[in-house]
Amino acid sequence: MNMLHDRVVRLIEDVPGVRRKVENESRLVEDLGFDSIKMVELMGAIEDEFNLIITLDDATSISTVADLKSMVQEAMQAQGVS
Amino acid sequence: MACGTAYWRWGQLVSLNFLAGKFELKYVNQGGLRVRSYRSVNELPDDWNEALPIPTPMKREFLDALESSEINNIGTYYLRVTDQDGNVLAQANVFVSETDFSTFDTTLPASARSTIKRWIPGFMSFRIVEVGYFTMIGEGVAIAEGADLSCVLPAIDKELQEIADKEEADFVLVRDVPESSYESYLSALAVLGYSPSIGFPNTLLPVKWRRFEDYLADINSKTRLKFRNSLKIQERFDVEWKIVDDFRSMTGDLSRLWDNVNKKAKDYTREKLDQRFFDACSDKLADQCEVITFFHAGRMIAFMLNMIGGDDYIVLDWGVDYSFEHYRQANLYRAATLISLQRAIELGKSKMELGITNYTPKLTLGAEVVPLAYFIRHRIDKRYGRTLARLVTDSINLPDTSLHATAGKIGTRVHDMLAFEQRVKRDQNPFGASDILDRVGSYNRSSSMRLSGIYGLYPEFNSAQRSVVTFSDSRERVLLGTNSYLGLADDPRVISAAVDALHRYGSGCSGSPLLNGTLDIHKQLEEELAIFSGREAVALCSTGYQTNLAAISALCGRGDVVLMDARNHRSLFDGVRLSGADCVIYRHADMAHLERLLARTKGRKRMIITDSVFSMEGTIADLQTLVGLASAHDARVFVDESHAVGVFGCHGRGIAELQGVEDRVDIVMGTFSKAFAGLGGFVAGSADLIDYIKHNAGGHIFSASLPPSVVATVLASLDIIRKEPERRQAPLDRAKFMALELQAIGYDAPYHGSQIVPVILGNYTLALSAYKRFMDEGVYVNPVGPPAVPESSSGFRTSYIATHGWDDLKVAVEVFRRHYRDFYETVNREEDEHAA
Repeated sequence: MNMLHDRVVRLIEDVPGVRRKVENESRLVEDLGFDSIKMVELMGAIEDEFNLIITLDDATSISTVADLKSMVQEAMQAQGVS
Repeated sequence: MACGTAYWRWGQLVSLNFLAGKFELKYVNQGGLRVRSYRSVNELPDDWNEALPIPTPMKREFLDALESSEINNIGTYYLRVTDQDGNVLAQANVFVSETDFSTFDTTLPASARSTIKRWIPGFMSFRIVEVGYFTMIGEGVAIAEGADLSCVLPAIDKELQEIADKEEADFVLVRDVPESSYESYLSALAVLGYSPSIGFPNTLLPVKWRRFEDYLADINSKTRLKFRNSLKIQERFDVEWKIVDDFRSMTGDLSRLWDNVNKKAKDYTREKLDQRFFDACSDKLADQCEVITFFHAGRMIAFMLNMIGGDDYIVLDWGVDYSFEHYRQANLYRAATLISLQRAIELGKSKMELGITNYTPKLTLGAEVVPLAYFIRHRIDKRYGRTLARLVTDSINLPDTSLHATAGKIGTRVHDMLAFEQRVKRDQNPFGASDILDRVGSYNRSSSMRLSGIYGLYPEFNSAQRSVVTFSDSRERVLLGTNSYLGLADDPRVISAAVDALHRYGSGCSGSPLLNGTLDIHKQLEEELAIFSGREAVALCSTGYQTNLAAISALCGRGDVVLMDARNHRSLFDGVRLSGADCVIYRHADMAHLERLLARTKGRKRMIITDSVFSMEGTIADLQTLVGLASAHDARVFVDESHAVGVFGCHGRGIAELQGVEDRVDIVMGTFSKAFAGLGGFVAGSADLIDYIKHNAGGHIFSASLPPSVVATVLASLDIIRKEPERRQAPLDRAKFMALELQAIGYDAPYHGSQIVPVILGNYTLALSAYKRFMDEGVYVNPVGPPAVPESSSGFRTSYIATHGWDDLKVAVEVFRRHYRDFYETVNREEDEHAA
């Protein structure tokens, strides 16, 4: 789980223009300054990092970093990625 | 000179009659409140300091010091509220000043800000009537024991309105309301049009030690050691410090050192303290202020000016010489705050105030961070009060109070800053959180653009779209922002066809194409378009947007996967959303990303959807690679040719024709609002596919047909597109000319081979301001920014049409040339700052 956390946080921090410290309860839009364009960047990075697909609906349902981690975990299970 | 006297009758409204065109208000008198306004300390009543408990900054002598220094040219108003028997219920300190809020926008580089200021001098600069203190922190309204704030505040507000009207102020702002009073202020002020905002929190250290050593004993050993070392500045750095009561001879140094700090302040700063201010402090506050001075080699290198209140010791101003050779190691600020604490203890004060901003060293000291609220209303339009309140709230970063050991050791109260911020944000929304319309209340963007004076959307043209157009202000401008790519919007043949159709068929079709909305010319247009596009059949829709909604929602459904370019038009995204299919996005033009997503969605039913020419960037899709991937992964292909039809390809069919892949594209769509100079859209494909759409696509069936004049417009345009292929090259030639000209000047204006040329400025606020500036200079461009493009790609979208006059384009080039230095200098200044 910690490894997942670190990988997700690194991907968030790598998105250009992301501000403030990334924490579990950080909200992507309100706290970290994500907009739809940065979300596309992040989802693309998550997809490639974890070999997943993330749908637009999944992406728009994410509010916090914790939500994103949960979504990645669920997607890994649903899509049979270890 | 006593200035205004207002009389405010407070009472309960019991009836309202409309008589002879005037409202007659009747009150049950609950006692009249009288607000008296004084413009000078000299006029204040003798009992100003004693009539009711007032905070230190409201004391006559402190007001006097500030007033006599004349800093920032603030206008001062001292208010006293009395009841009808003359009992003093409240006093308030009010001042009027100019505040520049442009520094609050952290996304706006300083250099871009100065460029915008040059173009729009009043950009985000407002005149504000404030209730509070200009250089100190504290509640601006002092209220007598037993007096009712809910009665007093409306009376004060009425006087504030008069002041604001007289001073032509933009806003009224009540500052520094403590959390404990927040609810009372909110209930009294919200109904008067005020919106709450979080304010810069104050910092406060309750002084509960009899000796400084007792304080040090209470904190942990690591911090204690650090603090002790901080005070050894004489032995370590040869810095001498002393407390100075009479600092009249030093005020030049104080002013110089304060200026150093002010120049480097990262948070908002507006006070412009000068020598006169320090002189006034020395002259007027002899026993009530002192300076801690730091000397090295005979020169003053730092100072801290502190106020001595009845029960409090207030750290007011700090100045330092950054060129002092041991500046970094010596940490004179920490030493000064520790010496201040020593003084507060010696003087027997119960609290030390450390003020706003620069929170980390204050938290290290163990200070309590005290949440404060502001209440803001616009003088005229309450929506702007909400806008500014949100802007202020968003720009204040509340300090993290949870991480400092000293606070825990000495029992400092820790406030839940986040909860307070969220509470204030909730209260900013005029709709409740449970109201479905709360999203309306939380929308702020257009209002903030209007407030800052850079709103220019919905420009009103009052002529046909051509090379040069006139606007509702009757001025002509070169139009570099139209999609009428072939210049047919004012073509006499097109207009004549539309007029003829209007005469023959009337103005509109009453209903659905499926039942009572199909004319023979609809059928004719479908058939001619099918031949034109080389497809078996075509279906029409009433707008291009609707065409995508109708086609995609009919062809895709739940469980399917649609793979979309990230920069596809909004209508394509909305079409997928309406279909219920899973929408998976690949990075713009990133075919490798698309391939990976296709591999990961193997086995599912899939469609790839892309624009062929991307409307903001002017980039052209690589359809050859895309159709290859589609074939390899058994996916269907849908191409939106809205910006390409009529412009690209040997026959004008678009990019699929240009790239020779038409037979590998399953569905194409186009719009009539661009090259066809009308309105509506079409989708083309196999006969079966179009028949399915015509009987299943809601956006086609449940929407009235295109009106006859529009159908005739499109037919006439189609005829011209077929007969005048030379028109297709004209917008591309003009776009290339402009891109090369702009590049030669130095602009970042990439040419991707289409009729759309972006001009990248790098910041949306700058783009909006520049758009207005260019409008003034006679050129219309489209400003673009997030969410249409990333912030870094913000700028202009320029587009070119077949009938752009070369001379008109040259006029536009000159406007770009004249403004290049504004942008160029912007870039240079940024680099300078970065280097510094």
